[in-house]
Amino acid sequence: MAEQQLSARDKLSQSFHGDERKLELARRSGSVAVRRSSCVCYLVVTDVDSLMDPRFDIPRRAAGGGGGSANSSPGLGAQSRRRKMPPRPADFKLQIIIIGSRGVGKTSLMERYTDDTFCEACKSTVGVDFKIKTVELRGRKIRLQIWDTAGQERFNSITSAYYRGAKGIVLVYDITKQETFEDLPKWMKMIDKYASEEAELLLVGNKLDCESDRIISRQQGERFASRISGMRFCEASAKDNFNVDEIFLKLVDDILSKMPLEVPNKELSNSVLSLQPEPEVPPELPPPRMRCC
Amino acid sequence: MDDTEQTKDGTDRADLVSEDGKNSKSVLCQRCGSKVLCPGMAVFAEKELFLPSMRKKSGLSTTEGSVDGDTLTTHWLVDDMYTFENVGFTNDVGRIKYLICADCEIGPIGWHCLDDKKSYYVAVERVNHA
Repeated sequence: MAEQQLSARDKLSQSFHGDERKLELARRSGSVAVRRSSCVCYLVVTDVDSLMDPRFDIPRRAAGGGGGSANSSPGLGAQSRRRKMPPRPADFKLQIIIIGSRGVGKTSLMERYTDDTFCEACKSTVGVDFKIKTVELRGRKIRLQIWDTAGQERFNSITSAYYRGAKGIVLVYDITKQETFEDLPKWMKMIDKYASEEAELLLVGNKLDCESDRIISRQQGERFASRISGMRFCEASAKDNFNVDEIFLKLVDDILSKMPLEVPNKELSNSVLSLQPEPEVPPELPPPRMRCC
Repeated sequence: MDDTEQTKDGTDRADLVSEDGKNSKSVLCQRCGSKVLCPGMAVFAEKELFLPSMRKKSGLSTTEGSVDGDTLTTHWLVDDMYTFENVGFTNDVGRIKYLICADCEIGPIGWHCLDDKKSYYVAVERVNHA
């Protein structure tokens, strides 16, 4: 099974693998770019990025039994790979969008620091379009392309392109603002209309740091999420960094659990394994939009 | 490599660029240390690019007559945005998207033109190396 999915390119690299001396010479001479990788698995799961060379979009399985850290057992998964192009840096790529009503704190969820003492040129006048972030989970490196839809919160103003390619959707409300919770069904309509059925959904009750002003109870949030199949729920405080990293890890974990490859310790998953249908290719950069800062 | 050539922070270029022309060290945000690129992932490239100042608040406004900034010539070049460990992209300024730190959003640290989808530049002078 594993062998069947190896590309010719991988076979080439495998034949190269083991001849360390030749490899080292090649590396020194600069004639070949070589990277030692401890990755055990390559599977490109998104086609949102039309910048990608299609030659890289080759599902590959090799030497399973992950679960360790990225630097564990290099002997098992290590592949010395001959290549003309730069090394493939990540094991997975996932597109994630953050949606929710105005002012619920979407943008702050994608920042590690909410230090407002710096208001840099980019942030204040131009605005951030999207971010590439890397997380490591189950010994794999996952690149997230995160789209924040802040500034275009009116339900119909977010173009379908954002939803279409998303493998993960973070739907945010503010636990201190009733109306942001009441808006959730409208957002769900948009998700139902545009997003892939396979997209993982995570409901986030934000602003946990404003507990004293809480209007939406945790149970209300849980109840809403439980009515939607496969939707997970958590509360977060971007201000205190509480749960913020976990949000993305949680989402990624769910997405990985749905991947059609055996993953040990997928205790968090009870979803059906299925191949995701190929979504329509959205533009790699959605249309320009106005945003307040 | 020209061993005598110095970058702005006084580091030997040979110290930063490996024999095959790649970054021998990790590329990090100068302010928060967020990792932008792993070693060996980018190619050293020389190109004159104007980047607005990292400090001036109105630095990116295109409606202003002049923009405060620097013309920088040494960069780390990658051909795929997924090569980055962590990076942010600004909204379009003309045909340009500036690169910023994904975590603290300081920037611009780099430059990407929408007309060349295979070139993403990170200015050597605007990042740390470790």
